[in-house]
Amino acid sequence: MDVALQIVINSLVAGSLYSLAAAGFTLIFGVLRVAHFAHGDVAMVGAYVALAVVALWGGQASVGTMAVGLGAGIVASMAVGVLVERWTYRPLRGAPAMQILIAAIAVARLLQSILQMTAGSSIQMFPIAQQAPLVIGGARITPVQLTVLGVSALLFTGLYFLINRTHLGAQIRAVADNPALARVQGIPVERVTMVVFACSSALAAVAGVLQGLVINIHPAMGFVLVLKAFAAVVLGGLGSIPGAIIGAFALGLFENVGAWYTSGIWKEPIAYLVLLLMLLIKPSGLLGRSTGEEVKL
Amino acid sequence: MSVFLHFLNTVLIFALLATGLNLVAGTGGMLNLSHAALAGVGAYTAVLLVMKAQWPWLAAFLAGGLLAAITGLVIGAVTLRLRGDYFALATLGFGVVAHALFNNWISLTRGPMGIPGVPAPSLLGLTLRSPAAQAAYIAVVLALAFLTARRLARSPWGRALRAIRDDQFAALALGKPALRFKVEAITIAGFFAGLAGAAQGFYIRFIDPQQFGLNLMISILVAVLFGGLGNYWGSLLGALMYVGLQHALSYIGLPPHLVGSGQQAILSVILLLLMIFRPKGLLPEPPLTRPAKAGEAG
Repeated sequence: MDVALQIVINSLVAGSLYSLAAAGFTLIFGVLRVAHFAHGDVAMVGAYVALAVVALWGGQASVGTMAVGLGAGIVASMAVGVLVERWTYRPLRGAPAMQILIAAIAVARLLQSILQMTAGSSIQMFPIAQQAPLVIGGARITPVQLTVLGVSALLFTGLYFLINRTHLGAQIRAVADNPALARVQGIPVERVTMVVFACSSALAAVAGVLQGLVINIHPAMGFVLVLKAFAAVVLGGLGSIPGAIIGAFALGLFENVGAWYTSGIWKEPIAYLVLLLMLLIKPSGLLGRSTGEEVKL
Repeated sequence: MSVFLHFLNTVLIFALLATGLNLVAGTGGMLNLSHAALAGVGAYTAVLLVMKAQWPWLAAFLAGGLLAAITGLVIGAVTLRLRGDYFALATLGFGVVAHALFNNWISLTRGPMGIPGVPAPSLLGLTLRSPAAQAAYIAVVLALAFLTARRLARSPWGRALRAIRDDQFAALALGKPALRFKVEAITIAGFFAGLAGAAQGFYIRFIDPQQFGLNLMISILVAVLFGGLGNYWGSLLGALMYVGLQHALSYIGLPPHLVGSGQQAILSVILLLLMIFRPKGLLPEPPLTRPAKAGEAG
């Protein structure tokens, strides 16, 4: 029983991280129809900036310094995300999807190499004190893991209200639905796109920093994170934010169940094998309606 | 001389990889990001068959290509249900699975330690030990692949593939089974990739998972895009230019800890600029029909 509970807790923590990245990925796909491959590396920039800021105080990080670091990381990621949109996706509006994806891969690799040159390629963690885990029904959960769950729940509530209850959210939905029609209605499409990149990048930064708290950060993390986000988005159904979140938690669950019964090294391939099965059984994803964008023959 | 022969071998293997990718990505318009992993499948298959099962070299070499082709077929059949860029990312996922297999199936692949002491190819009692002999046989393989790919791209099959790339629904309406054509293209390209990977294994005499990772994938992509999507001479030119650039970069004397990431940064910038300013590469894809000259009949 405690094993099952432990797996559930681990899956929830992993799912929270993936869903923060996946929500932004699917939001950007929604407005631009672009597979934003540099999204994971945008998250990585945020994590490393936060780490550098926390290191300014030296010694162990307190809640206050972590908050300042997180803020700096969010600002950095937002800046990088918006610049990537401005300098890479905007010149390529209307270009074939493949061309945009290759450009995005190039940006991702560039960010990774710049980071490797400045911060080195070693695995790093935030300097936080070891804390005694809480024991719930025989399963363990650390305060940091609880923080991860709380922060992501809070952010998703905020995102829900932003998308569904605000004027800006209505504009975002309009652009995602039909950019040309949105423009005709006087919606500033380019500005909405920029805001979407800023919000998505902020969520990515939080994902990166939280990953640094519960696991670790390294220059290849962006690649891993964006593939996880992608897998979650496909699992849940293209272009749907609830789908992306559900897909992310499903992915976390599959990975942790798989890792429990095999061994940790097979965690990554299990994620893609699940994705593959999903593609075979239901290509439109768990919540996805068939958009006609995936080809069925 | 030996520097030149090493350069030549590297270019030939690279050109073989690029020719295969061009058939899929150029003529077929499918960005198969598992191409490098397919090369890895070919390399591991061929090397293990020679070293563990004592297969004759030629049989193992071809088996490497064949297993890579079959892997390509499976990947295509599963992932081609997704639209273009999502297909690309899903194939990248396959690359990760293959990488994990090479790394973790330690009883077979020795994992990250790699397989050293790969024997030189031997054909009809001759052992192709010298770099010159290696270059000769790889050049023959490349020539065959090049001619096959070019012939295929111009054939009715290739024209259908291009039509599917340019307008899938129109091609479907004309009764072209789009998915079948695409899967066939990925399978053939997988065969080329497998042969290239096997050739590399028998040339370097050592294989490890690192050789067939994302770095190789991006390098092949740069070569194909440099030369021009859909232009097979372009892929040869692109391979030559890419390997030349790589050699040039190793002479500019970056500090050791910056060599890898510095090269990656420069390549990424080149790739990005190519995509923004010259997505068609140096040589454009040849048109389907020759425009009739004045006075020419038919």
